[in-house]
Amino acid sequence: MLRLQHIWQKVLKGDANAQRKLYQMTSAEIMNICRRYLSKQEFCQDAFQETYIKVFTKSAHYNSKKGTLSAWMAKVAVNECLQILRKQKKLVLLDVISDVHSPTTDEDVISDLSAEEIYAEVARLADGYRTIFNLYVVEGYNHNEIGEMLGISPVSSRSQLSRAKLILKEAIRKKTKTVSYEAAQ
Amino acid sequence: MRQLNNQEYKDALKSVHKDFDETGLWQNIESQVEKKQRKNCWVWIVRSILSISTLLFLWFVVFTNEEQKAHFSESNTIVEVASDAAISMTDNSNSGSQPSKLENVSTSKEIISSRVKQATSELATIENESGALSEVSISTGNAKHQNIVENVVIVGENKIIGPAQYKEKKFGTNYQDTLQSLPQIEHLQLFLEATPRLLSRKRAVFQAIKEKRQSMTPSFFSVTSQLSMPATQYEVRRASDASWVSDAANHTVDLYSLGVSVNYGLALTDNFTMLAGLHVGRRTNRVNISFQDITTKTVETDSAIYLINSFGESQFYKGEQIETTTLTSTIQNYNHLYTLGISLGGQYEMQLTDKVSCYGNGVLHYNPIQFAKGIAINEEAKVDEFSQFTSGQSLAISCGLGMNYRLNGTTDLTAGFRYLSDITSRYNSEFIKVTSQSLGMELGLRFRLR
Repeated sequence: MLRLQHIWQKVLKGDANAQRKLYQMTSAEIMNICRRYLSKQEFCQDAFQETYIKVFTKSAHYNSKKGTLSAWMAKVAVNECLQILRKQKKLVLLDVISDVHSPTTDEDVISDLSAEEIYAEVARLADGYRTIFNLYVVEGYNHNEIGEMLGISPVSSRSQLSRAKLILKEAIRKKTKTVSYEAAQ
Repeated sequence: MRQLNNQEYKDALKSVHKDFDETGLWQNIESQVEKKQRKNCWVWIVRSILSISTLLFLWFVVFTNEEQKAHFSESNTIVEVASDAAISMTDNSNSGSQPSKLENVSTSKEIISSRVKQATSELATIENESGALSEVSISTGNAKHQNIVENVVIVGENKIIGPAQYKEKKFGTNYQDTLQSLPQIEHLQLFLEATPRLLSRKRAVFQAIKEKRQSMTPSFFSVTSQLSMPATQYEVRRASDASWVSDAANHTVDLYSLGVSVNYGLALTDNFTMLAGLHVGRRTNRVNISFQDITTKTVETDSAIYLINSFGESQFYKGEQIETTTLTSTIQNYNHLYTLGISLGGQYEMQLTDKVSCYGNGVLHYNPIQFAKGIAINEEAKVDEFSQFTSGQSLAISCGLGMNYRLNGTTDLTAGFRYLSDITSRYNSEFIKVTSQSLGMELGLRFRLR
């Protein structure tokens, strides 16, 4: 962390070497964020590049009192991804409250899937569901914040998350049984 | 088998890392960051050059004219009037009554007054001939307002270096007051030595100025209006913006562009004139937006699927279907983009006949004020205010070719063609460059200043 701060001080002064070091230290994490939101590789790379361009050209916007550098960079990346999704008109979010039964994932999702398999199942979700799922579960935003970011009501955000989890649960359950069946064979 | 909660999802999703072209992406990022920094640098350089050029131009226009005016209306006149007065004293000395002291000037009032009358009328004649702007303020019948030389530096016989220092003083209505003030002139003795050639030099100076003015194209003030047909180009720098920009381009039809320019032209040589002024412009386009608002909703159906898997377990899946509602709306609107700025350029003019001349000019337009009224499609494919997408300022370049027709002694009719091209983007996004080129006609009046 200290090393990152030291590098950041140099980045603020426009040091090209420091920019490269910062990139090397954080690129894997940022690319992971971009991939979670954007399935197409070209858009993913756009968001990734744009994140670093903003980080380097608007470095003065970072306020260390508001959070860590990594968190700020992650936020920039998430915003870039959302922007691209909006432009691609893929972020079709229904601002309605669904009557679907909302299970809590903590209690009824059972899986022996690997991280890669869970990642793949999440990636198969529709853009809107996946976005809300990532924002809530991975980034840790609450429904009010998600509502503001996406222009929907918190209730709708909650409903969409429930729906996303339900779909994911079903997908994982199927996958688990298929894996078990193949193992039994 | 284990349970998955939010934290486990989070850990699983964060732990997956896939390889990517780290070096290639870094090169792109590095080049774009450099480009952006260079671009910022150029923006500042252009702004600085424009500001300095404008200041220099204003300084040149204002102070050069002031100096010329001072030279004609004050310095020469005063020195010459004083020297005229001194000539009469020289004449007096030839007659054997040369005043040995300044106090003795008062004894020659009669002679001086007659010479002042003579010199004044001669001066007025020369000035009328030369068309000089100097104001002759001394007259024998009614002295109005006169500057008196307090200190004049004379080198050699008739060479005057530097402007004289004046003491402004109001006199009465009688030239006698002027004559009485003559003893106040310091170094009057020097005038006695220098004045015999000052009058002839005065005539030569006025003649030279007259000839120079006649040979030069005069400075002018012009008012011109333009009507042209614009063509807008959209350049996308990022793949993700392509569809949005393509939509924006397809929905927009360029209509026309109007402009009014007010310029001051300062003649620098016989044919070349420096232009500076203000420009107001308006570009109009029509937006036809036909968009679809698609909403989807998942609803349960009466059907269901009942499956028995390979373990003999039964699974019941309730049927679902997605209802899609498509709402198509069409909107037509006229968008206006207004610009207000300063212009700086140069014009070359060639006289064809007595009344007709042709010109070619190039002008740089800096518009610190630019705003838009209308609608556009936003990034979410919804209708939004056009103003939020346009940048607050712009830079453009134009060139014109045309003819001037002399209507009377001071006024010309101007008509020609003008091509204008944006240098900077009309949009405030760094990833979309929207520029416009327009070709049209201009018509105006030009008032020559002599």
